[in-house]
Amino acid sequence: MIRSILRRMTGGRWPGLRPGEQLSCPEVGRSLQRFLDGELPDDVEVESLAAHLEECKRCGLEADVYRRIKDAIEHRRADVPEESVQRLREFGQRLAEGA
Amino acid sequence: MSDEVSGDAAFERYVLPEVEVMLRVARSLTRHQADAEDLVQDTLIRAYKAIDRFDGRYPRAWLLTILRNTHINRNRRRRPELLHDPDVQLERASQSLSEDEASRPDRFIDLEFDAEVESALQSLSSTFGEVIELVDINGLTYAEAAEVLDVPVGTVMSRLHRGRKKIREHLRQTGVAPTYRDLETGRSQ
Ligand SMILES: [Zn+2]
Repeated sequence: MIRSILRRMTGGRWPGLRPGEQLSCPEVGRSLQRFLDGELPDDVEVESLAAHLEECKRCGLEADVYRRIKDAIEHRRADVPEESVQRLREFGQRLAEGA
Repeated sequence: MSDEVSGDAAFERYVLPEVEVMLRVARSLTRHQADAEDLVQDTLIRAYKAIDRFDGRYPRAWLLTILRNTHINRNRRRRPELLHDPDVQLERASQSLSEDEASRPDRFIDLEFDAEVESALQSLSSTFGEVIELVDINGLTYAEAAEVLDVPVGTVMSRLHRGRKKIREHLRQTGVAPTYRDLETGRSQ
């Protein structure tokens, strides 16, 4: 409890999570986006967060919604035309060869 | 650049593999395929001229910085209001949607959910929209997106997270994705 308050006061920097230490729902809320983007640097936090999402229905549901949002956005990604990539690589190749 | 690798070899090794990522990011910045290709071409020329000063670390970040600066220089020579023309963005979004559906027939599509995400995205200001596009569509890391936008990583995070929260809230309001609390209160009524 004290540790989680201290972490909140230091913006999550200190003290680091101990293996197996439980995260609170607000802590999960603050780290969830970075977790989903694979941008959490601390492996212990990644594990605790994943465990919390398994057990806590409220946070689990939110994580699920955000995953689906990310997925929906990612699938808007139009493929870049392969011939454009090829043409630009060849252009670069000619630069490198001094043509 | 270290002596054992020539500038030309370094260019081939570090720059050419990044062409596709550069093109994706260029398309997010310019909103048009032809402009994007011109931008990448200019960026390649600048990168080639600067390769001797590149230390071989983080080639993508280095290239994205050049890309961003090239983009800024090109826009000084044009009318800026075209950049965020909502009609252009809308047309582009619907194009990429239909191209996408054609190219991924196997994907299970929850049409209603996707449509609401789309409409929430369209109503976001470009400040939020461009970060979401760089990270979620172009697959950039926070640090790479910060490089492209020339803002601190913390700014990328807060814009991205606030933008997503707005989308999430829209989904709640339209009933597509209730929160756990909504479900609970709905049940007890
Ligand atoms: Zn929770």
